[in-house]
Amino acid sequence: MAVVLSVLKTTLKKGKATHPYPRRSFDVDEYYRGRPVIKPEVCMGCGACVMACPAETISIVNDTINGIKTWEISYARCIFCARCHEVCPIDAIKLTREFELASKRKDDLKMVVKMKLARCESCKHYMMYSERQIMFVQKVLKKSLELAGAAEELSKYTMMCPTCKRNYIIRKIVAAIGGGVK
Amino acid sequence: MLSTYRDKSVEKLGMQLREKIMRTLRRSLYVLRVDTGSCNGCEIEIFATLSPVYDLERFGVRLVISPRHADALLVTGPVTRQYRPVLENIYKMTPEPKVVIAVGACACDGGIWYNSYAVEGGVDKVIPVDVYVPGCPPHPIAILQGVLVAVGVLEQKIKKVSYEEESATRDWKLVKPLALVMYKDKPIKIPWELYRSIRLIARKYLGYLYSEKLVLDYVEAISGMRSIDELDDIVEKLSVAWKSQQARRALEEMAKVTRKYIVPAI
Repeated sequence: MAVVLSVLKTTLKKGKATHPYPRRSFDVDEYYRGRPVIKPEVCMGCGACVMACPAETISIVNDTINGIKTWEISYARCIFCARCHEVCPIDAIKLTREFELASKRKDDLKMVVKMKLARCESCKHYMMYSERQIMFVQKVLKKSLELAGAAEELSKYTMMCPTCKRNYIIRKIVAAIGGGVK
Repeated sequence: MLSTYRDKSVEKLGMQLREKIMRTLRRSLYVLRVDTGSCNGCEIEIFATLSPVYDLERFGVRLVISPRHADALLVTGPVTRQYRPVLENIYKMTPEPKVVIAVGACACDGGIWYNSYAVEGGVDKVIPVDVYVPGCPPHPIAILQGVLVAVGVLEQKIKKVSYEEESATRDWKLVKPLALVMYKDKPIKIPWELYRSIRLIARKYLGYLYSEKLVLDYVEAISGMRSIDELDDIVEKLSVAWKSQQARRALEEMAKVTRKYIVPAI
């Protein structure tokens, strides 16, 4: 009896331990890994997050007929490891602290971003790279190459699709050697 | 002491929610846990949901041991080959009305085992699912929200978001400029090569979480530096502030790289 009273005294002193969930929201830690969210105005569709995701839940589909690149993430398979956050070169995708993701349809767990593909300047077909990727590459070349004129020369390669690039380089090599090859 | 959480501003909302719970869950909800070959992470989080801190049982939810008594099935794990007929049987044995809740990334879509030869990949390839609770493992509060959404007390918060092509125009400016590091919304100018080496060194010693913080602290410190002799003082001050042997080793290597970078420029 005395034991019961002493336990009861401790319990009444401590109070309730339960968190009253639906009435009050739950605060998580500063570094909690919640749902990853992308900024569509920053993403350039480089595919670093696609290669880094262990569950392959991020996907990029290039529609070269209509010129649209579709980036899609599904939170159903995501394991919240933060590799996409780590690897993104321009901080487009970041992990937030949201974890209340229950959903009645799997389709609601998706996020889709669409952007335009670039056109090759010589053959006028759509390439597999987006316009923003090409602008990024040109900026990096300008900043990192010190020699004058080298950046402009290499920028010419950025606006060509791989087939046209190959033909251009072969023609240049043939012209430098001295002709005679068809 | 018993009413430590009474808060006048949400009292009315709480009473409305409580009435809704009383109306919907007129009798207790009987729940059966089904583990179709998981790593037990989600199972442990389900046990945590039933513990006194997150208490699922205050809504009248009770754990049972037989599918014949159950109203709801909490399914975890990607469905392994051996467990597939058992899961189909359990679903048939549960009497109507029933609710199926898929808990965890493996149950929702296969998780990281989605293309393995030994799993079906997701519970919805075998039985129909009503609520998906993603997470690896999901937080106990997320599981609690999943059960309440399945019963109809709460509304789901997440919706599909789709951004079309108008956001992808030619006036795209890099939000994070190439050779600049932002510290508290203020750009600090250091060359891209140096920033990259510093970031790799910090990542090697400190891992993903704290390396970003160390890089920002270091970069802010050296941008206010007037002469190269101050570098040792900066390393000393930051190591003491971080109280970590790994941080000290990382900072010493970063100082070496910085010296190699700055001296030729002078």
